[in-house]
Amino acid sequence: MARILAPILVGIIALAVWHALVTLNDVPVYLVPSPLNVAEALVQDRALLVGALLVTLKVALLALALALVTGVLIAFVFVQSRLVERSLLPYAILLQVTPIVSIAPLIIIWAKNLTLALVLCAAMAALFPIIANTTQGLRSVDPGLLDLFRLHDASRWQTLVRLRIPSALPYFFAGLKVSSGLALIGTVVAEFVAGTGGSRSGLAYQILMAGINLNMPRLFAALFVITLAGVALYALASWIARLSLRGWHESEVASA
Amino acid sequence: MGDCDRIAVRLCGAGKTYPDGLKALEPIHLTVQAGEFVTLIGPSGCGKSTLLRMVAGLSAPAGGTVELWTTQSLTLEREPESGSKADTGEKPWVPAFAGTTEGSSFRRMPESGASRTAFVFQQPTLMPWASVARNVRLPLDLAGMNAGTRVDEALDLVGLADFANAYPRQLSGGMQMRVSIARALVIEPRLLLMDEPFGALDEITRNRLDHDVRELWARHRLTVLFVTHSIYEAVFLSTRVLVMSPRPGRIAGELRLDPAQPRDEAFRQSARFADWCNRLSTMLASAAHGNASA
Repeated sequence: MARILAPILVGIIALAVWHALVTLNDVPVYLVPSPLNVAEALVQDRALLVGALLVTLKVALLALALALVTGVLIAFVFVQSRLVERSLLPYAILLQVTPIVSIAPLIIIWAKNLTLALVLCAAMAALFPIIANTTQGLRSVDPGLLDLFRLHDASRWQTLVRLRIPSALPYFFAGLKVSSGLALIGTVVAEFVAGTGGSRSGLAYQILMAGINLNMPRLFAALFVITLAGVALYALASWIARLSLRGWHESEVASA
Repeated sequence: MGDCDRIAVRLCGAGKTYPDGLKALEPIHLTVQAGEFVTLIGPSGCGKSTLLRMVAGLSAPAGGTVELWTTQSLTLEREPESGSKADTGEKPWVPAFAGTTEGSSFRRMPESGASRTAFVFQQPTLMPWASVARNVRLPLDLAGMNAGTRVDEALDLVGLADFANAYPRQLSGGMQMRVSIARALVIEPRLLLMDEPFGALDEITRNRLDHDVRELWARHRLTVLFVTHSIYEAVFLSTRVLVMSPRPGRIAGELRLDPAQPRDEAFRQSARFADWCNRLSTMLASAAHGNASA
């Protein structure tokens, strides 16, 4: 009970302090709106915000799916040999450390379809944790079990399906949890870069427009929706991880 | 009874040298008859596990030959260079009768169906994501064999029939080890290789499992090659104990124990047990001493 109540209590106190500070100091709404203004905007603009959220979420989920598929495939390539991994890993890291903001304009120019461009940007942001974790997982196999498989003449395929993939699952899910947030962040960043000339529909566009119009309550409301979406994505990833690992892996047994 | 005069394991000059030149095992000459319970005993690092892994085909010997279930001498020939074995720097060795298993050091025997080999590791080595039953069934699955009732029978043998659907983490260390033994028994092995299987367990559990293994050996006419560093365990279990000395490992002595002697709790208390333990202890001490002065 305290596990749920304690954070809620902290949230309520923070909102109350925020509200008190804003009203006591007579801060104008176009600088910092009070929580009540934001709530009002949430209700009034709900159709607009939900529509924008769906657009952003669609891109984020597509990007996450793309990152998952390519990330896992790259990880499978990496574990084929150390040489392959050593040759390719620097470029995977290069991809990871390149700021998405700086290459998003290029991708948006190159890709004819804007949704495709946004998906590519977000997928790039979400890709690396999947590669790194899955590679680590595919390598983290109990050497005793490997011996056992060898002893019983297991084929490469049997070893992969029955041993390496199950061993990699906990690592893969750790990567998935990180990447779910990154996919959303990547989407919003790409939407920002696409800017007002972009799709005119995602949450980032709403934030941009609200900022230009000094509509701070809507800006805050849109921010709130984005964070909520991020939490929801993370919760979804955690839920899938729990379903898959429940019963055997330490990370999920304790909390089940 | 034709089985009794057959040779289960024969090592002729099989040694082991690591790539850095460290000699782990002197060339070993060893013959294990079918139906024997042979224990290798020695201090840590004497190469007894390495020897067992060579017999299992998990580690290729640097020179010499390893043969299982031979009635007459079969020559093991080295194949021409076809790839490098990373752990020895030697050419991969493949028995002449090995057929197509290029690159694999696991032998296929002339009558492979009848000469299955099972290995029990120091750790239970179970798949944590699979139930007890699925863990036990693994060797059959890998061989594409129909499990039928064999999983239940194997679990019954180790007293875990009620735990088929449990997961490894729900079991105690001793029970996990029993699952590991059931997994070895499920293929109805004729040769059972055990590498300090109970070293991590408390003494009470270890004694009970020793008793069970001895029963299984007697009932199923297994041939067992067992590695331990416990004198009591070696004396309790074995029909023959080989004393190894370390660095480089070699067989320094042999103690034959009356196979007709019943091995039960009374035996543990007996003067004969104490006498055998003392003799083994003396042999171990002189093996270590002889090596130190050499």
